[in-house]
Amino acid sequence: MSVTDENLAELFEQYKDEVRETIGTLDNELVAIEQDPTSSETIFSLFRHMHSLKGSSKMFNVDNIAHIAHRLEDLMSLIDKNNAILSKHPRIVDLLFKGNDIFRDIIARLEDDITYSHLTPDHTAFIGEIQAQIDKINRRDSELVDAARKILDDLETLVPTLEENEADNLKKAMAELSAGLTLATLAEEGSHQIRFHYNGVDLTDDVRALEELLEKFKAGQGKPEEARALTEVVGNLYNSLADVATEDAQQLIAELGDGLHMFKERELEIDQITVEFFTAVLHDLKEKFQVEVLAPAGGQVRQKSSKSAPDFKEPQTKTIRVDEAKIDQFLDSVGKLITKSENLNHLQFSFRQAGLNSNLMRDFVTVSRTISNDIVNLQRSIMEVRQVEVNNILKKFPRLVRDISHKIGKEAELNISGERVPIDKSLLDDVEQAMVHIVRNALDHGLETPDERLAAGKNRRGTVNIAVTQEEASIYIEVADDGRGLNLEKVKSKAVERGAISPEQAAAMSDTEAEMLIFRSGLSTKDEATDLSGRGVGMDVVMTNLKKWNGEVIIKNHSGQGLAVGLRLPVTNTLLTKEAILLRVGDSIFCLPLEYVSEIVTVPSEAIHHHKDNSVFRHRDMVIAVVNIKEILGLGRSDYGRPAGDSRAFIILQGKNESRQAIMADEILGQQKIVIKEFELETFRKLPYFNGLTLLGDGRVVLILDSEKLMTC
Amino acid sequence: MPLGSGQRVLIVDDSPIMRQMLVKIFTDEGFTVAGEAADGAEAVARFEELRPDLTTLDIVMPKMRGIEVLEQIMAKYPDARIIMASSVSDARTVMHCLKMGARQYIAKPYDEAKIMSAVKKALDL
Repeated sequence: MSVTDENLAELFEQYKDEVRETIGTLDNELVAIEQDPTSSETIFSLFRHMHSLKGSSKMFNVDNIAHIAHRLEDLMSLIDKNNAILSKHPRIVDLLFKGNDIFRDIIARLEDDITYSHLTPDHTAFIGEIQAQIDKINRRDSELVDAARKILDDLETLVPTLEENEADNLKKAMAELSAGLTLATLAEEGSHQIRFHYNGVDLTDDVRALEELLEKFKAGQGKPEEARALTEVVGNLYNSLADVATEDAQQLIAELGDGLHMFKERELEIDQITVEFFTAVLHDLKEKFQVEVLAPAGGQVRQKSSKSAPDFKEPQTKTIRVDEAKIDQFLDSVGKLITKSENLNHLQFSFRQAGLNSNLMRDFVTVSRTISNDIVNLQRSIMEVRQVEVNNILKKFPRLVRDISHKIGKEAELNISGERVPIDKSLLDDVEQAMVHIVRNALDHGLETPDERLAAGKNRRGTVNIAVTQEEASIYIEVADDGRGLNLEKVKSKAVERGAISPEQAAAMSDTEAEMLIFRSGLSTKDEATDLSGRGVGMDVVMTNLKKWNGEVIIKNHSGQGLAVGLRLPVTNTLLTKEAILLRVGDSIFCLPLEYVSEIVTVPSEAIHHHKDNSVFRHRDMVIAVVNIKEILGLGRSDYGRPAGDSRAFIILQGKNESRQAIMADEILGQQKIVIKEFELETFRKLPYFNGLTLLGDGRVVLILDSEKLMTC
Repeated sequence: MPLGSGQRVLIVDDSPIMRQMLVKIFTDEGFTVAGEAADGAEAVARFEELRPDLTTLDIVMPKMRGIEVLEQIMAKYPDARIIMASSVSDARTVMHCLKMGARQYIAKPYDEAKIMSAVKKALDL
């Protein structure tokens, strides 16, 4: 109770008088508003009376009046913002009259029974009625949204009929509208799917941090000591915003800054008022942010747009993010297009042979070339859509390393390189999970304590280096520490102890196999169930996920000096187009990506020397070993022993070192662009010498040779 | 031990019961309630007439809202010590008033301890 009991008793009579007086005034005003439902003066007065009733009733713990007045105040506040509402919903006046009657009833009953201050079922039902009315007013908005969506659909059909310029403008306007509508819908559904950007700065973390803190205080769980946390979080948001403020938001940002300033200068406390203030300003600021919206499951479009009115004079970079499955679908279509455009090349050849009119022929060539270029551009841009900088993952690590090393009493310095390397977006989550595990292991198991390090003659501060490098068709991420490295004997005995492998297996195990044991779940040398592991997913799961992307793990162990764990991942998992040589071996046709080809030469039969199972030939002072592809693939015996004077085509493979190898083709059919499709069936993935397949222009399916594997034969 | 030592207070609120409540609290704590005002226009007049040591100023009032009253008083008497009386829904206005020179605020429903804590800060006691 806020005031002493004797004060209350004395003042309670006056309170009741005041409420009676208000009830009388309300009656008059309600009659007036019925005659002139848009009078903003009367509307404000009604609002003010509900507001006062709420306040004084709260003071005297007359909960029923306080609650009802509160709801009616909410309702009046809506009407105060849009005074057309009363004309559209005349029933509201009845509701207000009813409320006033209830107030009168409560005051009368309080006369005989001072405990009649709690909500009765009737009161609760009435509050429900008010809420229903409020919802009805708000729902009006969602009906509007639905109507607007229908209009959008209609507009869509207009686009093709317009001039290019008009169509562009219309499309822009539609995108704005649609983004706004999405926001309007999502605002009702909860906001966790929304990200906040402002002039290119991602504020989501700051906004969420503030929201979380405010929620906590609202729930009464915040401690006064946390005022510092609040000023810090608000400060962060303010700083981020102040740097990028545009005119339209400056006033709000200033308000935030002033609030922060007042909070400190006037030594304000965290109470309902200050919490409400920050909540209200944040709410308005959020509307000014550019917002990226993730559509609800069922996956429509993610849009990022400003909710404010469209401004075509200064177009901001607008991005529309699409559900990944849709991109994949789209990529697939692009792949098919590439194949089709190869068809055009075949046609071109056929036309020429058929002796097509040369003018027509020229037109055809031009068109087919343009189409082909367009498709390549299309492909490139869609591939870029899928890529993001690996920094998206890396930026989380400084904090992670700091937190973990503090927690376990170690000192670590983190160096990061290669932040700008692009990575396929779909890989992000899995790579991040894997890296968190690896980094955590490096800190937890790899790095020694400062004392241990000093004793070993190292710096007391350990180092963790994360380096990302871009390779031809893959990216390589390495986490290297300068800790104690792996003690393989210890790792093996631990694995035996935990029953993961038998003592015999341990004895027979190669070093590489032993190293890989650290990725088996439950084999960490320390307790796995700490919160350090981040997400509680086992390393075995992480490894499975990486394998799904055809990732590879490479361990470089320097016992006593450190451990490097590398992840090699394909640049993209969905679509790779390459120039490739088409070759015939026996009756079969294969593809060999051009990047693996060093040279194509013809060699006379007599220049090929055979020794036991091996064949070699000389080429520019190099001895080149022949990979007997025909036999390796089981397509029959190679017939090198052809009559003298005959010559054969050899494809010399791009080798990594001095030694060169070549494969012999019965015929080189040509060179063309191919779309590499990965094998989807496990059975095919096990094929030893192929790493995918492609469709030819004429629809034939052709296997792609894996030159790296061939070279090891 | 009362906090006040006869400092003169002006109480502005359109609700008589709220005024009554504050009068009680301030009197109990050793302050002198020099006067009361029930709307914005009256508030400005009473302030000029009484020049109180402290003023509690309600925000939602008829005739002239609290923020305009504050503006008028601060323009003429920048040293005025004014405490805004506010409910949660006025939070933004309150903070704005602080920026305009109000010293503190007190939140409705009133809590004696909190009021005195604000008064203490506002009067540098």
